Amino acid sequence: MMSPWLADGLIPLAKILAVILYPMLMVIVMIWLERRVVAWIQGRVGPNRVGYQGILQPFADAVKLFFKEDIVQRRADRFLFNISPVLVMFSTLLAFCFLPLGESFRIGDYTLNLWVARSPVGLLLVLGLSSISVFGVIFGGWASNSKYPLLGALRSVVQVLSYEIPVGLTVLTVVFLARSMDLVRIVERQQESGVWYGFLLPVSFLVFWISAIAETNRAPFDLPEAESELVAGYHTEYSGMKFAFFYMAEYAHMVLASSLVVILFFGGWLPPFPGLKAFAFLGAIPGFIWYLVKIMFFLYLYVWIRATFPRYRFDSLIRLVWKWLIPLSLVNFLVVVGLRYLL
Amino acid sequence: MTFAIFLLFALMAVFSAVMVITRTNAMHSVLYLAFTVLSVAGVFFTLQAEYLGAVQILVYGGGIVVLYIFVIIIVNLDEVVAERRKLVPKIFIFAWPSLLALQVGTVVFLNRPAARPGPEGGLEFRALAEMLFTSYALPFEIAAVLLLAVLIGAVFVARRRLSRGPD
Repeated sequence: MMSPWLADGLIPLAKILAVILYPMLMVIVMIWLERRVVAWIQGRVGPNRVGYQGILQPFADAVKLFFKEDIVQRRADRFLFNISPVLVMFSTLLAFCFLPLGESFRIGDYTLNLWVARSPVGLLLVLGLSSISVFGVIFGGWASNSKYPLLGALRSVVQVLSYEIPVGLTVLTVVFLARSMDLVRIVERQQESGVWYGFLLPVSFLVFWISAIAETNRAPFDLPEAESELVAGYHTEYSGMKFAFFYMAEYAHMVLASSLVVILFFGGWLPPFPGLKAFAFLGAIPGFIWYLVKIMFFLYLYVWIRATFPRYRFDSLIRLVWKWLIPLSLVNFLVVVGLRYLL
Repeated sequence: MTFAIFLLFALMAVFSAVMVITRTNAMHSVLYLAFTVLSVAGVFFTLQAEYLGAVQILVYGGGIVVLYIFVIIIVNLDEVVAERRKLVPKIFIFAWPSLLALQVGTVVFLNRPAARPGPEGGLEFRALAEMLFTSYALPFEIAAVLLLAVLIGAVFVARRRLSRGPD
């Protein structure tokens, strides 16, 4: 028998703490992974001095950013300038509340759910909250009162708004098959049907993944912060912890996008080969380990893609989404709905 | 508890709505508009209309407000703000929102909608869709036609006025 004090007080508190710490931890791992892997791909060594294999490098960077001077230029709009990093960070972290990390398990007579909040419209909420972070980007770029940040912010808005359309259309196919927008339910449906939606809907997965890269402003779609054209894009004028907020939020957004891909298309916390008896022993490993492994794979893919592809030109970026991805996802949606009713 | 959260979101919505119309800087107004939209989404959540809340965040928060920002940046409202006429008495700027706030308050305190449980723990899509396309089909279609009319009107107002040829 678990005391209600523990069940209603301590565990929710621990979850609140975890929903902030977990993305931060992933961000730290991701920053290290990105610098190391890109360095290896480019035939360099990368950070390897601070800690084993340089794993403590992100902490050193954080300490450095803490002690940096916090600069707000004289002509900047102070209110918007200061609130933008908070907006970006808050909306991204809030979305993590709705991501299930694994199936719920029982301790005695208490059921521990590995999510903070479960909602019948969890998918919509995560998409909505992650699209709100564009506010921070555009306000930050505008409030800096400087050319490069403004151009970066404008590019970001056009890009994020355009790429939200294929994301919505492809997510719709998953919702259509799962008959639910509850993220936990979507994973459960994949367990019931015995096949992950990524294999059932490869077109949806590819379109979603490409759009997710564009929405997180990552290479090869990192035009809002193209360093050869715009210095650092929308966060050029930021320094110290405010810059760190933008930086961490971008990585947290990548973790969020990878988590969504894993939940929607690759079975969330389910072990691989769901239908085969021979691989049933894989179920002995706890669900959240599988979940983390899958997320790490997609985070690695982010880095791999960044090191492989050159940056798009802006017109070809917009052409890609309006002339290819949106028609493709529309046709894809019609085909999925049609097949569902014909077969 | 739910009522307290409802009240918090409602007050935030009213406060930021007042801020939207009292700021002289268009960019600040838009930021408060975003806060208003999010607070209203919060109100929807406490009323157990989760779908409406999520759509509010996704469509208004993520789409429409962002378009407002885009337009403001492109047309650069600085000059408009500078020659803003002071014809409207200040009292109106505060009177209407406070009256509205009062009204929200009375509605809340007399009806206590937050205390009432929603139909079977919140509207499901099916129920919502059935409601929209059966009992509310006509208002729904009228709203759609209205939006179409607004769209055509906007295109008409914003069209490029070509000269009628050489004469």
